[in-house]
Amino acid sequence: MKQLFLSLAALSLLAVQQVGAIPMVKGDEAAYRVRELATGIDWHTNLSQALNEGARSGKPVVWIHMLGKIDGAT
Amino acid sequence: MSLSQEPAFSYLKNNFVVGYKDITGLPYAGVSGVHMPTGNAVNTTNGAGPHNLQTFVLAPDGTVMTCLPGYWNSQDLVCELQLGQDLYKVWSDRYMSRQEKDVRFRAMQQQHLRSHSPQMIRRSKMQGFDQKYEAKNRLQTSDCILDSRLASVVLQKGAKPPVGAFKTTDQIMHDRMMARPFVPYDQFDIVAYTDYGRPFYNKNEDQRTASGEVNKELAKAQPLMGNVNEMPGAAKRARRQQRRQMAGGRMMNRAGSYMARRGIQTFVRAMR
Repeated sequence: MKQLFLSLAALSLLAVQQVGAIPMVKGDEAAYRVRELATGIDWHTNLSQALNEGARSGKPVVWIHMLGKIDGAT
Repeated sequence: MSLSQEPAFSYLKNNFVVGYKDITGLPYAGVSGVHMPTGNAVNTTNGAGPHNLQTFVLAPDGTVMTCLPGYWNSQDLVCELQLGQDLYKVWSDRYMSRQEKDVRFRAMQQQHLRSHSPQMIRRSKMQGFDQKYEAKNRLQTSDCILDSRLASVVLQKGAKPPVGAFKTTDQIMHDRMMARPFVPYDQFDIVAYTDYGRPFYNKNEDQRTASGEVNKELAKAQPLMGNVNEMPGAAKRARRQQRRQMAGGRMMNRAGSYMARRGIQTFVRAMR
């Protein structure tokens, strides 16, 4: 009985930790994703050029304002 | 992180011309901890960090279809990008008058907000520190507050906001966009549009323990980027970091000269 109680207490402690934890993508995986994002899409850094490309292809333009660079520190 | 996740990544790649601009140093930019590409990444709530990141959907003539302030969940981002595409169809319609287009724009923003799933609305809860910032600085005037009496509760220590006190960020975004139908990008008032919550936003992705809690000491030492001088607390922190770095440099110099005087002599003596 005592053992069961202790196991339950340990499990509930673990559950509390899990609830408090934020799902995190570890550095290696995040670096891979950043690489894929930076190289898998043709990123424009000049708005006029991006708009010209949009006019040529008939596609709207997604233009992102961000602190930092898409393949660097953000 | 949401841009690199599916479905956002493929949707962006297949349906849009994509570009970005580094807003570090621009007057409306916020402040964030420096996050290296090899660092950890975490998900956050929709609309968090509105001063640090803005995603525009533009027609090729430079007219703004929509603008998402802050970070958005990958799925929710796609949902809003689709609205941008639908608005682009309206904007490109040769048979509609400008007035008709504006009416349609407002109606579509409103309809889209009403169509958000309960999950999306849950993901769009404004961050607690942003709610506090709004309640503390503009309790009676903020367009993010639905009920000022209820919103004032967050100013009490440890108190959570009652339901109906604050708008969710998806509502803030659509309400603000409704007031800006088909505005040219260079006339879009980005400062007012992104103005909610505090300018400093940081998830401390690399300053967390294995269980996900923030290590406060590491977090304090993290370098900052953005408009650091615009934020009194952050400027103080940047000066403190600079002093630490200089002190570290002096220590290294002292150690280096000591090594030069003693260590190398000892090493040379030992070699003999």
